[in-house]
Amino acid sequence: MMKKNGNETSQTFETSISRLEEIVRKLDDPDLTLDESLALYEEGVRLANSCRDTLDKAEQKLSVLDDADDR
Amino acid sequence: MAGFTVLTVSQIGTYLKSVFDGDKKLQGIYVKGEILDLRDNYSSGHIYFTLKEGGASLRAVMFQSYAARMRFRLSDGMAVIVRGDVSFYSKDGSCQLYAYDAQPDGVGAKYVALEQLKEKLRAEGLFDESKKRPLPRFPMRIGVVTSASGAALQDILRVLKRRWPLAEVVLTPVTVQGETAADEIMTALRSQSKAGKADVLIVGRGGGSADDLFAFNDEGLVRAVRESAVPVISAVGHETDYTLCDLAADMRAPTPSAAAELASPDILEVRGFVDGSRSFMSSAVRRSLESRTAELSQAKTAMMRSESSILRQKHDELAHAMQLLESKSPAGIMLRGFAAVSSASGPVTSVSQLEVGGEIGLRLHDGAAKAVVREITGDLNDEKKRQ
Repeated sequence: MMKKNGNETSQTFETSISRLEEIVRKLDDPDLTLDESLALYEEGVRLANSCRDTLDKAEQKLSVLDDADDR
Repeated sequence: MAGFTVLTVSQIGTYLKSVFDGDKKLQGIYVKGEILDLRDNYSSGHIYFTLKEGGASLRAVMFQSYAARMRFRLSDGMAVIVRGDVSFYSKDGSCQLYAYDAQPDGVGAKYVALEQLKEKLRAEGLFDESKKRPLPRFPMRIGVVTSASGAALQDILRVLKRRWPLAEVVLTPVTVQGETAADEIMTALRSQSKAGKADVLIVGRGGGSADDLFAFNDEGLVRAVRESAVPVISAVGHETDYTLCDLAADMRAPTPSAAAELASPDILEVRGFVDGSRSFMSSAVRRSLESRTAELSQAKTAMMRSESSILRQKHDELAHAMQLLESKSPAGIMLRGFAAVSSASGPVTSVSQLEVGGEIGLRLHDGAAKAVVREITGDLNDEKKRQ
């Protein structure tokens, strides 16, 4: 997937969570090498932190879509 | 005529029934009239009545399975539009209407038009289960098409604030009842779809009478639901009958609050997963480390075990060699009947070291003896050759 190159903020919440789920699944694989599990762990913790951040900052917003430009 | 064909009454009855049943003009028709002679059969649940209009009358029966679904009670004198098939009942020798639905006349015309539209759209596949799209798991923008002043919007906002405040609510305010409602809702759905801002749409209103909700049966609105670029949840407050909007939507919710619930994940669950994933990942890495450590110590024991087996092997080889050495020692040879010969000058290895009358020593495995040389012969091998 995505390597650490700073554009994680552009990832949507959904891709982050999906990747986190994937990492959790993969870490359950007993055939994983120690290096692989450490790399996954590092990526997973980074994702979990950014997700947690998004969740904590959430504040409901309401906007109005005008259909005036449609007609 | 070539001959008489004699038919039984049953044969005529069977034939007439097949004629009626084969005539499409008599199947799935709407018949308008007034109810007379209504009889409820309490044990079977079937309803029998006569439909009368002008000077004509038609007997009718509604079987229990259909009667149970009726939302109002049929009664004598009521003007109705009945939907059913006309067939022949050979036991009575009469034709009758097998009714499966009825509406009071008046709203009847509207009802008939709605049923016909429903059938048309169904045939086009607009309500197909296969067309229903899954809802996004984590919508970040939820489009809402409803009245800006209605309770529906407040309900939706309240639920989303509690469950999923991450989502921005993008509202397109519309009138949800009256002449312009259907058009406004259709346009709103289209502009939401075109704007492409929302991940999922909720369209609906709070409860109302069947008439209040009729806008949601509009053909253009229903098509706009199906054509939406993102999944649509229909929340048209209605207990029993679904509107066409409900049927065409990707998901149907009984109320606007329920629609908001369906549209959103629960933030507590998501937070629980995220937090849980952290401790899961740590323990997975710890497990991985532990299993590597265990593998190492296992390898170590295996190595030690193989080391000791090499030692054992060397020990066996040594014992064998010593045995071999033993068998090659003079004592071993003497056991087989040989003797070591010596003279005063040391071990005797050749006859050339002997002289007749000389004294020699003999060593056997269990002792020694002295002897005198009587005769010396040359090389034994040379003698053999000469013979």
